[in-house]
Amino acid sequence: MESEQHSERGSPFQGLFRLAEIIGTGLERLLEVPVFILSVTMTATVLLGVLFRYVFRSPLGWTEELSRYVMIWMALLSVALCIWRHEHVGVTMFIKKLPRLVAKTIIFLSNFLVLYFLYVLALYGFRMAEGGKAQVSTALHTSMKWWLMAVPVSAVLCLVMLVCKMTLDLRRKDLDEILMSEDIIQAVKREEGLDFDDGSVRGENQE
Amino acid sequence: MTAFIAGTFVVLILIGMPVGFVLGVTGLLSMLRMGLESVLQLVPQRYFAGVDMFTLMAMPFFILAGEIMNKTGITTRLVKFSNVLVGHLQGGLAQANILASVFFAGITGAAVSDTAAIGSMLIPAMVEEGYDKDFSAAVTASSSIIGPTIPPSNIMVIYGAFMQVSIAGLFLAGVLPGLLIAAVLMFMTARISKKRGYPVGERRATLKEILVAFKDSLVALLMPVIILGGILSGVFTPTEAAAVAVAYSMFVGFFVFKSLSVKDLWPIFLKMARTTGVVFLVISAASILGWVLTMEQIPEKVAALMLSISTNKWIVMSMILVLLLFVGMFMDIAAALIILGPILHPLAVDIGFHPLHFGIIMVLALNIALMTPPVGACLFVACGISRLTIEQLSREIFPFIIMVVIALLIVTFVPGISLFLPRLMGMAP
Repeated sequence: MESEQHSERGSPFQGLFRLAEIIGTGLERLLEVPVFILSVTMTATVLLGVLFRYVFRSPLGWTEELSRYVMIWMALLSVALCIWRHEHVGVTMFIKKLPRLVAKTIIFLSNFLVLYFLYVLALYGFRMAEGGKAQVSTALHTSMKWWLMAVPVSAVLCLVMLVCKMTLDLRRKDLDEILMSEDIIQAVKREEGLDFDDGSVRGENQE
Repeated sequence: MTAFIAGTFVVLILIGMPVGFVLGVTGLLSMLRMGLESVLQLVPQRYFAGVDMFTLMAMPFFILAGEIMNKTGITTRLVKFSNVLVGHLQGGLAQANILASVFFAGITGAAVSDTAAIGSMLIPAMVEEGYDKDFSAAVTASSSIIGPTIPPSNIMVIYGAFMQVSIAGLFLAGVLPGLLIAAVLMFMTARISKKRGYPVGERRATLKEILVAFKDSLVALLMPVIILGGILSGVFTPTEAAAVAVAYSMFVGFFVFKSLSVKDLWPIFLKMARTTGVVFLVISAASILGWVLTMEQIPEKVAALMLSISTNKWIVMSMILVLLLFVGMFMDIAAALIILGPILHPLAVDIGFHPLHFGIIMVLALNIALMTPPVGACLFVACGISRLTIEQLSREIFPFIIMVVIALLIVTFVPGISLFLPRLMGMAP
């Protein structure tokens, strides 16, 4: 990343790239907090339901609905996180066969279709949520608006994340960087805490 | 119109657009093409309704339980246990790799986590003992597909939720096919080991050693028992059982092994949320496209087309298998399941297949895609761990793919393998 920034110095887009990076990273940090809270809430709610039904023998009734809506918020907010982290992957084997510049252009332009999809999702999603204002959820007795809002809010966040990603894609040299999460495999290993970079396998490779 | 839908879909897939967005954009463009501006309000509605299912929540919970269990260091114990059981055979460590996947399958619902956890431990160990690196990686990647075949299984959750099939029934039906896959893989491993003279383990473990290793891994072996037992006895719904599995894994991590810290939960929960996000985008977007397909009566058209070629049950099923294996090679499993499920499931039931049986066939066939080039996810992870290229690994994994396809054929043409356990529990006629 850093070396790339060096080579881009002086480019008129430099400011734009910095901005996209700041917004994307900032939004990611910001989103992780509610996503974490929602995922813990979802788990705790279902367990609470189990506890009350089977241990205390007095079912709560609202836990199923609450956990379901919390799950939707959690998952849809995560969709935006995954756009920024390139975790939504497609089939990359064909596009990679094309000349790099052609492939980059096609990917860039195809993203406008996704932007349009997200725009429809946001626009009609807000209308749907407004329309659901008077609807009352069956168990929680809350307005459906708060749950339906997950769709347009997520769509707007996705829009922002995708625009940031598309901006940064402009300066990315390697197609893999555009198409896949920074390094899916590395991420898997880091998260599992199983990095064995200096192990025997690597050693053999260098010989 | 059908041509427009198919054309848009294929082009978007070919240019590498993320599968979830391909489904959404294709659905949206088809709606516009049908001149139905007024139905655009359906887009967010379907998007929301697509994932508004309590049953689906079992999936994030199984991911969570698997991640937490893995973090507690249970994998080491499972590998040790497998090793005392089969380590003395020729190619013992490779056999232990496969057996460990069987045990690991009981705590994870996804194949990729199996590849990552077992592979990063056993591939280096196997290479050190004198196995070829590409063989070690191939064994790891191919045995990973046992993970989503033996319960719990994320794709069975999705299948059950969308096709209205009992998830408990699918879980039960998956056990024997999962063991069958393990058996055919072990057979091939034994043959290759003998031919290449892979090391023979030192000696047979004593009964005492086996018991000690069994005791060490008992907490992990209990997890599928809790999940299946809870669901089958009617105590829990699948989602509740999955949540209990999360609580159980946390209990094990915090109090039994004391290897889990509160700090670990942040990355684990976030990873679960992101994995869920990726799959839920696919499901949500697929239900938009699903609406279009239903409007255009595509499922009926495909069924009619297939039945016009032959009405013989087995010929139609063979066509379905070819289709599934082909589509699986290029498409994400969840997407293939949600798009093809509503088309193929009614057709299969119509020609006389039991819903549980066909569920297992579909899950198995799409699972094989995890280990086939060019885009098999387990292949990618195994390559990452062993630092091989896909090409290097592809050659070595080929015999294993053949074996698994044979297992798929056996499972397809011998319904009893899938249906024996569900029948035993009175879940199938």
